[in-house]
Amino acid sequence: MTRFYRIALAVLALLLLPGCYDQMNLEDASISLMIGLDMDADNNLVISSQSPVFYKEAREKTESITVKSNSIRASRNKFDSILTGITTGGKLQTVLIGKRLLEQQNWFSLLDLYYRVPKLTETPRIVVVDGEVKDIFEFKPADKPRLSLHIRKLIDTAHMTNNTVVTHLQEFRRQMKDKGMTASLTYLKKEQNDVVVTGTALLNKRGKLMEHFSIMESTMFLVMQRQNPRGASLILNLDEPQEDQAVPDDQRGIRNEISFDIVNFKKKVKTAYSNGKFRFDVGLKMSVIITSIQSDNKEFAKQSQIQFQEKIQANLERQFDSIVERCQKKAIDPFGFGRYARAYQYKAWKPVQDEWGQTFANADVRMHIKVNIKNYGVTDLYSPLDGQ
Amino acid sequence: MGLLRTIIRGKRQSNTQAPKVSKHQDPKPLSTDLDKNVADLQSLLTLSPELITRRLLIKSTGERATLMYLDSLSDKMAINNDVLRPLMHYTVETDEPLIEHIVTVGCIKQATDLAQVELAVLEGCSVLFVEDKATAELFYTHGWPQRAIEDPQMEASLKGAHQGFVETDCQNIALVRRYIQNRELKIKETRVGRRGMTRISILYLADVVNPEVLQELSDRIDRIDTDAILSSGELEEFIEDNPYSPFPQFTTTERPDSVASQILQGRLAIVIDKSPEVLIGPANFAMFFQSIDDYSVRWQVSTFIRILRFMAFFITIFLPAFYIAATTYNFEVIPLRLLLSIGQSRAVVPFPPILEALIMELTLEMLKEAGIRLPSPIGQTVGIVGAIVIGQATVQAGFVSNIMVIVVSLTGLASFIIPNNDMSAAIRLIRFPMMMIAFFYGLLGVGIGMLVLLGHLIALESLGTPYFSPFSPVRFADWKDSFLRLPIWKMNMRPLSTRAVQSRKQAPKRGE
Amino acid sequence: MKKYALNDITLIQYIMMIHGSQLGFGLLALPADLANYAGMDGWISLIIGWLLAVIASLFIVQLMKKHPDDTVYDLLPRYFGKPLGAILNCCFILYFLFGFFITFIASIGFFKIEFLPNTPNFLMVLLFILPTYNLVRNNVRVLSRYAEITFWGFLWIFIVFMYPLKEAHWLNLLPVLRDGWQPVFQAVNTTCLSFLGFEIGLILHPFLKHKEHAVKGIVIGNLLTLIIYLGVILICFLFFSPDDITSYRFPTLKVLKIIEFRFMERIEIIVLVGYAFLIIRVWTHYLFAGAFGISRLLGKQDHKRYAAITLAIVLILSTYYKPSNIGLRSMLKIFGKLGWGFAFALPIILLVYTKVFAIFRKGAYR
Repeated sequence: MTRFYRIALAVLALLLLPGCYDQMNLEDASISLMIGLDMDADNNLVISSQSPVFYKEAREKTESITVKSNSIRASRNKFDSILTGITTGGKLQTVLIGKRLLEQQNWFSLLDLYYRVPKLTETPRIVVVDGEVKDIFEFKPADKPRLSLHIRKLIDTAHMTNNTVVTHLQEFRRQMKDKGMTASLTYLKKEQNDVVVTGTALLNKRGKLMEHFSIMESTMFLVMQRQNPRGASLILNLDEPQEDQAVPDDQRGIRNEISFDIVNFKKKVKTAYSNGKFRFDVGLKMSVIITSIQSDNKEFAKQSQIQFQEKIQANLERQFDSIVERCQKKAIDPFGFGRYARAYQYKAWKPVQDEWGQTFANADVRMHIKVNIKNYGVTDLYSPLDGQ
Repeated sequence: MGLLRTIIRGKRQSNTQAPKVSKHQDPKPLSTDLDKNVADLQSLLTLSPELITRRLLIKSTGERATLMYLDSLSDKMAINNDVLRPLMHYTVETDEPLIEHIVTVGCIKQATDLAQVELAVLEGCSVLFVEDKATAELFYTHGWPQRAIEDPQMEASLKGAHQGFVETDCQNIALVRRYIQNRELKIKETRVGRRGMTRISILYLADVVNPEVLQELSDRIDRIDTDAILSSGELEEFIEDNPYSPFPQFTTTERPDSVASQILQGRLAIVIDKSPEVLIGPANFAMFFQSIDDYSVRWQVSTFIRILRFMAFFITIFLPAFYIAATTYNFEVIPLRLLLSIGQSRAVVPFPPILEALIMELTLEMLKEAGIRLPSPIGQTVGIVGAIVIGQATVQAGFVSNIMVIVVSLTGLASFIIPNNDMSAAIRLIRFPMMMIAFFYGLLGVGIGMLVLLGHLIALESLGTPYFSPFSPVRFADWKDSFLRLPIWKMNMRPLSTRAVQSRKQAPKRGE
Repeated sequence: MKKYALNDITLIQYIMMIHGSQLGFGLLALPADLANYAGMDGWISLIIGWLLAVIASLFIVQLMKKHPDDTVYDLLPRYFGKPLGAILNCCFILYFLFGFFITFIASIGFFKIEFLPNTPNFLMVLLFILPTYNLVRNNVRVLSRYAEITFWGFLWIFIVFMYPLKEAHWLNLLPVLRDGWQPVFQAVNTTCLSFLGFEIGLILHPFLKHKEHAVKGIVIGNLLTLIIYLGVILICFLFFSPDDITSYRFPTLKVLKIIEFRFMERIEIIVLVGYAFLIIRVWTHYLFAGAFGISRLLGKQDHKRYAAITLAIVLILSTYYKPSNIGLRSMLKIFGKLGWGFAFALPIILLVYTKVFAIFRKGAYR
């Protein structure tokens, strides 16, 4: 008994002897909250980082820094030679990627560091910036919290309202490495006085930016991609089917519009393979709650529920078809149809798995949408006394 | 080599201890010569000016006799009225006028041995030697300065009784007996200490208690060979299972109702003469987080409070360590917003977190220690100084960070809600090594520290029963009265951890 | 003659000790290893591996049943005579100590990478020796109590593992048996290492209070391990892309990296600390088995001293010998192979031997 305690004491004393090798005091750290990767005009890799400043004497509470470097790890050494603290990435919130960088071959390997070092986090959101990343780092909004926090929050809330996807580093790697799908990232733009989420950026298997969805399309995309898009709310323009979705809001005027929230949702994908062609039958069954009907057309409002539902279905189907088609044209599969192909048609999938994008471009995707209106809210569609 | 060996192994304790002398000195029978007896006793108790030797004639028989007692330890009224007066003035109309028939003292014993007589006198008996008789009469005429029975200081209760133990063991036993009027309540009495001869009584329910546990305890008490046992704490150190553990392995209480409740659970109570604290064993870890009041408030409330106490245990030990680990190694675990505010408050502090924490935690300990022994008006001033100095000035001076002040006050507060003082002191001590290991190894170090603690608690035993029961070995039946307190009518069995031989304590149905 | 009477353990404690000896390194690396051989069908291999482990466990119980108060160290001299028995005992001791060494060093390497990459190896060893010795110097009863309380106390880890399920992709599991049965069988070999640990039953059997439940206990112990492995593997398979899971060394941890709560982020750090409480059981059990064997071999009562000596040797070794990851992996592989021999094959051989022995002796008697 005594011996053990003596040895324990000796061990404790030994523990005290050496220094602490991995210690890093919080106040000595420069906690990188946002990192930006971009190419400048001369095709040099430019890496920016933003971290909070703790010192009271400092007037600015945030320090931003931009260096030219070949890799994130090398950039950290440069950061350390400029910043007060030692740069750490353990609390990274957002990774901003410039549009120009996406043109580069193999840019995804820049992020390898984050997957390899256990201390680093894998939840930072990855964002594609429409424009130069530098602009965002130089932006100092007066009415917002720290920019790095603001952008993270902005993306998360935009995702909550189904305006864009949220892709963290881990998810991004999955999307890049899984042969059955391509990546989709948040798309961001620096405007005059604001940072604005503009939709979803779609990458191909090599990480190249191929296409992007607007906010409205992003919502539809999320509905299609996710298993349970509760609370997604869609706005449909019901009377002019030929009209392009991309018309800016202010030119639309007051239209016959209907908006609804999805409360219940079921997705079923049937996969078939014949004659060297994949065929996907996507059945979407949704229950919706009408949140507003914006119309002065009494006849429109008087339609029966079945007609109403059919109208919405037809409209939705058209829109879903259009986004799928656009992706097929660019040979990308952000929806993950390839995973269905792998799961249900493994034999056919196996030979084409490495060029799934091309195969998907030739695939036959059919949408079958079934809308069930649960209720119309607490006002009736039209007054029975009206127009009698 | 030899030196190294001694350093590593420690000095071998010599097993050849001095052979233990018998509890009483060598028997020395009394003689029939009155004067010799008196002289013998006087020679044993030399330089005791309070030894009174009263020579007298017994009226009934006409025999010469001598009454001897220690003035300071005796009840003079009793001696005058119940011993001297009857002996010297009354006659009794019987054939054989025995002393018992004359003296009106409750308890009278005979002794034939000088050592017995000596011990009795030293305890406050008065002894009567009668001419031509080789037996001495011992009259129990004790009387010494005593404290009245008061509200227990350390374990104040809101709804329980307001009687606390005092320094006289027979009074304390009386207080316990008032709760358990049962013939199975047995008292095993021994004396410990060569000089002190402290009377130690083990109270237990004979049909409930496990005889092995009882035997183990009395064996351990018998093995003690020391000058005197002055307090319950001293006895505890002699008889506990693991003397190196910081954790108390017996509960102490000054409440008779607690003792009664523990005896009814099947535990043993050790009443030590001259100590107002009663030891209870075998103890387990959960007992230290319980108070007698728990049973007199609503069971939901008391469950909540017990869970709170266990949380306090963890907060006291691990919160400062966690703070150090989080600010020096693993700040990734702290949510970002909180991290930013910690960073801001840390940035003004010139010391590393470990030093900051040590300064504040030690200040807290000093404040506590200062407050205990000072008279209460000054004690309050200490509290105010502490609140102002620690709470405000140190932060404003940039000495420590705001967050650290919160951490320290939380640990302090948490450690004080643990009802048992020994346990609270133990865990307050443990938090310092925890802080050190957190400083050297970060969160992993804290984890390993927790692991060592857990390993220690599991291996610990109290009187041969597992200390960490009912958590380990897991005994779900005992959880009813651990960190939970289910209704009393659910606790039909005595706790398994006491190893009681009679386990059922009440009918399985609630009286309706 | 009851040698170990004072130390008996209950059935639940027996189960937990079997289970605790098994639940080790496999939890971290198994998903990647399985996916490497069998792709998303690895869970089938796991179940097959479990069946093998159960069969071997049953053989162990059958072997021990005949002399219920003997550990394997008492059994071998009984059948093979003193000198041969001692040699065989040495083999077992070496096997257990090797098991201890490899799990200890591998885990420390792992904790080092995850927590303190710059801290020297021997300091890490020092840190882990403290709780290890604190546990192993006790007897079986305390070890089993530890195994029991940590099982109940760390169930929350497996609840945390449920969290990533919200990003699960059930399609990953399909199609079942995509490349036929062959890769599935190939992967069984790797699961063996993960189920090793039930051979601690060779030591534990005499300590069990109600020996008639030994079969039940050892099967339930294995079953618990299977359930936990299966859950963790499925979660990893559902979470990661089948094309990518093999690129991670410890997918189990990567799964947790995405968990963030409002009050605490980077849950995987907390889970890892909790995991230290679980994995310590593996090497303490092996170390106990080894040190206990040495004390039996030398006819001493106390195994404490031998455990201390072993730990001291490991500590000294760790200052000079720093195995690389590849070295560790190959050593784990060797241990897996040894495990086939000692835990799977040997009990069967011994059982057959004892049957023959019994017949032979009967014959001789006649």
